[in-house]
Amino acid sequence: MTDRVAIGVDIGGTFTDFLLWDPPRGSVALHKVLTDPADPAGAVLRGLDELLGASDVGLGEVEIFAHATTLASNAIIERKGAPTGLLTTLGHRDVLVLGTEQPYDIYDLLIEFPVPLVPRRLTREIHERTTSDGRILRPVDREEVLDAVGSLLAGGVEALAICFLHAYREPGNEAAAAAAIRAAFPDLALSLSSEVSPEIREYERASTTVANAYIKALVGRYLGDLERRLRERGLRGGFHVMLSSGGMAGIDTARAFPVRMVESGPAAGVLAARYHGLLVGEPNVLSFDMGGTTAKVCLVRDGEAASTSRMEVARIRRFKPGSGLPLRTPAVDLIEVGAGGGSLAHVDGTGRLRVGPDSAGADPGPACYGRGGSRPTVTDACLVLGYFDADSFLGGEMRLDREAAHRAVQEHVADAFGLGVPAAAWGIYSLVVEQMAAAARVHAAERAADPRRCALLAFGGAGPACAYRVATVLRIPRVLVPPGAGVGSAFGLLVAPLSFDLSRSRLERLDAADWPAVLALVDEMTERATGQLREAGVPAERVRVALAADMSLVGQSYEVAVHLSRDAVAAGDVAAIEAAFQQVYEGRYGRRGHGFPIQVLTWRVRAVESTGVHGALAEVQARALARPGDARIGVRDAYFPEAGGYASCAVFDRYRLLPGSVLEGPAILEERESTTVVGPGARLEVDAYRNLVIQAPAPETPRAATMTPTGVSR
Amino acid sequence: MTLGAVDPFELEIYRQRLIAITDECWATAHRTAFSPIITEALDLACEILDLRGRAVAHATRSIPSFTTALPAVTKDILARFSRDGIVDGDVFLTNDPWSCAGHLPDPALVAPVFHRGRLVAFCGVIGHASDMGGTLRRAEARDLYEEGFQIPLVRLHSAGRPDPVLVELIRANIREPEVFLGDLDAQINAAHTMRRRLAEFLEEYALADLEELSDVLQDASERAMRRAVADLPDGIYAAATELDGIGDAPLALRVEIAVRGHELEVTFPDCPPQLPFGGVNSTLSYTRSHTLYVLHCVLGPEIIANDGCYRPFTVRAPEGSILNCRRPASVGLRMLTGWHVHPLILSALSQVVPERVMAPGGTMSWAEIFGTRADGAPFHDHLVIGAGLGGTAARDGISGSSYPSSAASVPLEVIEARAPVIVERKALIPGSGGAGRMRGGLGQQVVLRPLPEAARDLHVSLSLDHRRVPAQGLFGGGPGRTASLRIRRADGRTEVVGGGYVALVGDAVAEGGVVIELSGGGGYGDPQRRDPAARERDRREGLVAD
Repeated sequence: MTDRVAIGVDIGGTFTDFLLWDPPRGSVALHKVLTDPADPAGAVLRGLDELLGASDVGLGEVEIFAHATTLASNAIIERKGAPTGLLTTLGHRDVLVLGTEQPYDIYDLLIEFPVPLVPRRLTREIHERTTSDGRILRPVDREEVLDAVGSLLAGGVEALAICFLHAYREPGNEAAAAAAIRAAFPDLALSLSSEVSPEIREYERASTTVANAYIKALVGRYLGDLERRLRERGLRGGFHVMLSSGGMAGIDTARAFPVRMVESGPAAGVLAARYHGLLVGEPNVLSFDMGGTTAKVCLVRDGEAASTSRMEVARIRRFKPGSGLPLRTPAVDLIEVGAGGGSLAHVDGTGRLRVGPDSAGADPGPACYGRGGSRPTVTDACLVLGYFDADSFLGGEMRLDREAAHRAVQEHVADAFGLGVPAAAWGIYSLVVEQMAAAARVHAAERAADPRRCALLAFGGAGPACAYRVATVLRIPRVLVPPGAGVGSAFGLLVAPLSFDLSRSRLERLDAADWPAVLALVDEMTERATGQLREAGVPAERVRVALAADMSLVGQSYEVAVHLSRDAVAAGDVAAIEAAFQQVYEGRYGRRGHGFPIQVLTWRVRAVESTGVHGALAEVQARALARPGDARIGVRDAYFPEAGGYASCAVFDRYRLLPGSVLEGPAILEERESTTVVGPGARLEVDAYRNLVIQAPAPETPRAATMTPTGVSR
Repeated sequence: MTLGAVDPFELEIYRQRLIAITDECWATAHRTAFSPIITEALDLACEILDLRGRAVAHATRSIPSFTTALPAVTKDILARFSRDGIVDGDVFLTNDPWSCAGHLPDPALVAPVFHRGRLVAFCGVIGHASDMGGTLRRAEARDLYEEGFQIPLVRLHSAGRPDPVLVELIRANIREPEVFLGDLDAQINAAHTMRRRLAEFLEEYALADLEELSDVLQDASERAMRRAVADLPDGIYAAATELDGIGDAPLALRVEIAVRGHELEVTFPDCPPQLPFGGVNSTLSYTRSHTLYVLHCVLGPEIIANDGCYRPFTVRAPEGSILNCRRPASVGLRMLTGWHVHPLILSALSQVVPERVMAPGGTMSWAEIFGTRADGAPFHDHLVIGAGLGGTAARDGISGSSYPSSAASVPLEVIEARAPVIVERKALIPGSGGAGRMRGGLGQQVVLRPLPEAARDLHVSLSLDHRRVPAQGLFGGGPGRTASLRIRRADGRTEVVGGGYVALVGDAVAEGGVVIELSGGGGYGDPQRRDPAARERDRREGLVAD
């Protein structure tokens, strides 16, 4: 949608970012305001007034208003949703309390589990039953349903989820219950598992449905309110919301399925990375977004971001899989590591250096912020290593306290090991780098991708400072740091195609599938998905449909997503479908699946607006960021193990570097919100879009030789 | 490179890398396996072992008792075949309960990892088998021969080629052999993954093998564990418990934990002699595995698990007893005995570290559901059911947990899609948690019956602990509720079943079913001191009996 006047607004935890794109005038404007948790829409409107006030564009001219927000996930994390009730099949009220019944940490006897979003007392059982092959053994009784809902309303319930067993296969009983409830209680917000997440496995489906119900009113109110106020101010264009899948949806979809926007901001960031990669001819990138508390990595292969249908929110043990609430909704498959600029380093009781997942946050922040923090963070390590400058951090708005950083590293790490402060700082830095690299390596390997064939695309406040080292560890030859790292997600909103995803579980063996029925299902899903796009204003000729099936060998529980053509389904071409499956299977696991029949578990349809990749937005943004003057703004000592320790290093203002400039590492490139560090021997070029393109020196021999410049012994 | 110069930061990087490698191997086996006991219940472990057969690192989600069994198997391989006798492409297999995981259905698959033509490590995997032949009336087995197909330590593959005789024997002895063989194949996939990833790791750091690194990592864990032991006051800490047994009277078990400096010795004195039938005998390897596991949990959950962790510990039980049985004792239900080392050791250590233990808990179970469909096809699936755990100093016990197995429950929708059953009910039992300042977790009730017209015959086999002796409370807390098993007949009558096996034949009980009730956990601390708000919450949430 980069050919229309558009505004991207991303509400993050700290800042709300704005990006205005005006193709007719060829202009781009960036803006940032503090997020207002009490009135997020108010902050959006204030920021919008400021942004538009400084431009020639009126809100009436804006054709697309694209939005991402942490509202949905925060509402779950902070438990700010509506009191929610749940209807289950008789005998199964404890589906949420029981969960997976598995300890998520095998050695910790004291672990706690998240409290379900719906308490037991607000769960009612309905005497109904459907079998796994979709037969309704017992239909719902209208009176029983209404009695149950009546008692829940009396108990204070404002939202209701329905999750009956096998409703992914036969939604009849859920639909009948919903019809009765809508007739009797038209104002009650309903979420049905057969609509929110029609996939097998009752706990995950119930958890997803309940989360949807829990935030539905809050998100609906917010979006409705924001849209109304935007319309009042003259917005006539489309209002779109970014979903976790990286798809853009109309406001009605977002209000009906708010659980699908839990990861909307991070998904937008990945789409920005995808766009920058495609623009410079790199369809394979590892998107690396490192902020203050977390780093997120996502593989983009052949121009497609990795996707998943399994995610988890509100982990009570940070970053520990299994300690949160599972959600089964389509999502960009990113791996999140508790490693950011604010991650705290310490030596644990067993004498091991640990970095993260605890973070100093914004308050007190790293020791060098001088706001009372005394424990060392990655940012403190970067300051000690000379990567950050005490005087130019955040454009000089915030003076860093080098002494405090030094002291923190010394007291909490160096002394514990009997090491010098620089070696300890390097230890903190390289450990956090390795943690991110390890996560990226597993993420790529599980998707049968070789990181060495990707470019690393870095953004976020701390990403550019660590990217070169992460790439070195992963042996990625090329690092790309696009301009405007601070508003990456807002940028992603403007380059994201509109899209809509649907999925339906239907367990069937290929050799026994009812292909006409499958085709009918696929066509019905296609109709619904494309209808959503047309409603969002996409002309029919620009709607593309992608069909995929989650497939496995019969008996396996883990599926691989296989792209298929409608023709193959229409023809019931089992041989072609099987061949497509085997190709994906072998790519992922190294060996073909043999000896077992093949089955399909879930059908997925994605309707997407087809757009080319236009460079105009990036070009104009690059121009808007350019500044005049001598690019080389100083020299400071920075720590590079290849150089044997501290070495003199040139420092540049990256927006004064002209396209075509070439530098040799070591080099440090500063911009307001981040700092790019380039190691010795690397070659850096500024391309036409003002991307920093860093080429690593030829891979050398073992890293260990370069890892301990000070020759420290344990 | 020599590791003499390794700094602590590099060491941490190596450590995390090796764990990440095992995690990826585990994920490979998990995703390509067939049996829900692996794919859904995650009854699976994966480990890297060094050239001396010692554990270096294991996958985060491993089943704990498996990770301490794999070194014994690997050491057996080294003793039997010697390093020189092992070639690239070999795959070893055994389900010997005395060296491995304590009963036949937990076979260990160990594959050497070669790099540049040299043996550099071993990949060990244990995944619960879908079936191991033998009787499914496990509580009636009189010896190991009745319990199933024994696989002594043999090569499944020699230099990459499967042993056709062994595969034929497996096909002849194991129900649904394709599933079993498919699961073994998934475990071999894990070994392939480890080979690739270890090769990258060794290349990257110019290491010839893992030996020196392994020493350093293990020594670090050993030092940390010795410090943790040394922090305990010297002395002998004892505890006693009772367990159901198979006869008319409960059996008594005792433990003595002797702490001397940084060494800790666990002895189970006066154990009852091994039992002549019933499968409830525990091999010393299994007793030891669970003893090490619970000690690790209490003394240093943050200490990275490897061989070094366990060097400060010694475990002894009298030979010929139910905690150290002799061949060919029946061991199929060894967890009914072996898991009791947890409450024993937790109770003993509660005297010194009360805030780090939990009260004794109920015991999870899995119902094996098998039989014939209406169309004649067989089925055999596992329904994992968690019990209530004991309370801790800081919180109530967890309701519905698989500790100490650490398996996950199998979704009912998956079970019902595979087997012709209807799970009518799976719900907490109000009031089943022991009273206490911190209440015990709740047990749960599962009701299942054949799906009409879909099942020709349906059998349920399960072992139930705490049928007679409940999980005890700690520090004045009350016991959890006991477990039970009933058959519900078509006319509504229910019959209590004493043993661990039920057969249901479709027609006769078309509308009947089995009612399984799992035990609740013990309470922690004096119930009089329970926070009134917590009482009120329990009442409101329906967690206590009216």
